[in-house]
Amino acid sequence: MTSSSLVATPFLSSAQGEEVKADENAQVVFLIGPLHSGKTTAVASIYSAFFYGPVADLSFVWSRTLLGFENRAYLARTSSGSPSMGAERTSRSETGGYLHLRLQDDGNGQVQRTLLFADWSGEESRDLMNSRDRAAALEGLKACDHLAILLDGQRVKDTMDRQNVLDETIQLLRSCLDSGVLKSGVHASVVLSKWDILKSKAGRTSGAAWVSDTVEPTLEALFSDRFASLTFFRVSARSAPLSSVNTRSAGMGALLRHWFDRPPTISGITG
Amino acid sequence: MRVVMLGMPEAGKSTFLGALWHSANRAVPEEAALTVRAVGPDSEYLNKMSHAWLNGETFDRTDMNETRPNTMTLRADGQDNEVMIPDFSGELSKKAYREAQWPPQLADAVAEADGVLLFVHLEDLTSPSLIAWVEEVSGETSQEDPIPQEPWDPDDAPTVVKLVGLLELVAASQEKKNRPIRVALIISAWDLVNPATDDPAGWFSERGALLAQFLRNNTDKFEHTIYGISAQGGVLSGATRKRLLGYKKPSNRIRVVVQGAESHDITAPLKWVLSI
Repeated sequence: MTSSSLVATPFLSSAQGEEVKADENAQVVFLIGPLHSGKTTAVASIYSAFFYGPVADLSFVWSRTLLGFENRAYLARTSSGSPSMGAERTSRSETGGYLHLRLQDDGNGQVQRTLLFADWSGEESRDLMNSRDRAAALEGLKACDHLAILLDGQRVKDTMDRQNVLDETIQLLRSCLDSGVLKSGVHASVVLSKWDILKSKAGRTSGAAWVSDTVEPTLEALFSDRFASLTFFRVSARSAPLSSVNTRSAGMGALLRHWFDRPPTISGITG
Repeated sequence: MRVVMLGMPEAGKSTFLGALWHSANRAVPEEAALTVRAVGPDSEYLNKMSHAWLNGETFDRTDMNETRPNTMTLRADGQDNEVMIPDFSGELSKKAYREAQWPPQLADAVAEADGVLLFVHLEDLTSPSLIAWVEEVSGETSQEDPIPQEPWDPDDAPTVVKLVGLLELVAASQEKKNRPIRVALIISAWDLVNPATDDPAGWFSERGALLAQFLRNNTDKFEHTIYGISAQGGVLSGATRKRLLGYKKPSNRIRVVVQGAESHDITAPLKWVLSI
């Protein structure tokens, strides 16, 4: 890393993000999802996991945006569970560019790579679903190596709402793809949160089965040929005491490894 | 040679320096890694700190901006070394973290430092709660009223985050030297560790995991050793205070624990960090 890259900022701008991509062979992770899918919480959850040690043999090396992560962690911790206080807490004025996280693979020759999380507002999420032109304007989307679509397991569990979740997910993916700004070779991850409540006794017969029988096959059929890969993850991260570090964030470790283990695409921006 | 002491307020820097000055002044070479050969013009300040430590008192810094260079000649292994250890207020470290840049008083000292003593109070090493990717699984969406939200303050970040931020600044300041700088991480108030352990590094890998990973994974920038130190020997109140302050040899109340070994030699971290 160069000396300019050692100085911390809350967020990296688009220009700084491009510089880091070149200097550190970084991968850009762009999180999208229907309303209240928990993008802020997802990023904060990943960051907070390293306070207890490595995750899936990946350990913390550096972050140029510690204050940005801390801000997101604060937002995530102060949300109370009401949808109005959830992930879409961030407003357009609160978002910067990228959050920077450099990790080391402790199990593979101590290889180090950087993940850049494109940080953008919940308002922009709403716009993105309805406008491929809006998608075209998002800088993070142009630089994206990994597109992660977040699905809220709580909404999937709700039989009156789950079809909306699938519809919104399809609309989001179409907007991103049809905008023409995604470069070739992007890897897509579909991340279902709160998997543990779908697996619970109350949810097993409908929510979990619906995910397996409808959501995943539908998305696979519609989009698998439009990404370098389309992979499904089920995350059931729970707060855990210090002594239970191995139970942290079931599914999160696999997701982090998925992003870390795939080098960024070489091809440039299209569109 | 220059050492810079960094750490948040109340992390134990001044107590350490007072104990160090006492020990280095009184010890013979067989007892301490470093002994004082000559004092600089700042001896009055150092003597005040030493006096406060000796009597179990808190050293009151009158001005956040008050800093003495604290120059001294220290003998190590038969060799004399000119050493400067300025005592910067913890408020300056705090300011540096918040603003992601060094205050003017610290900038040159860090850039020119040959070693860093990084202090953290044992009781400040509490990891934040994991952020659940889900809310608590109650089977129902919470209907609680939204919690009023106070504006976010960088000072609310865990201490390990602040220390990582400080070391990132150290790395930027030192980059031109193109070699790792030695960092002695000093966990102060080590007498409070429970259960007792003689392995501060192992203990820290759990309680300060983020910073432990940071130090382990940036060996091109930092070479580090982790010490557990109790400069006072215990909580100075009641019968414990009377016992500790009644030691015939005051430095025997100091505890320095590193890599499975314990001693009373509080000069050892300084000797290591300066590679003398």
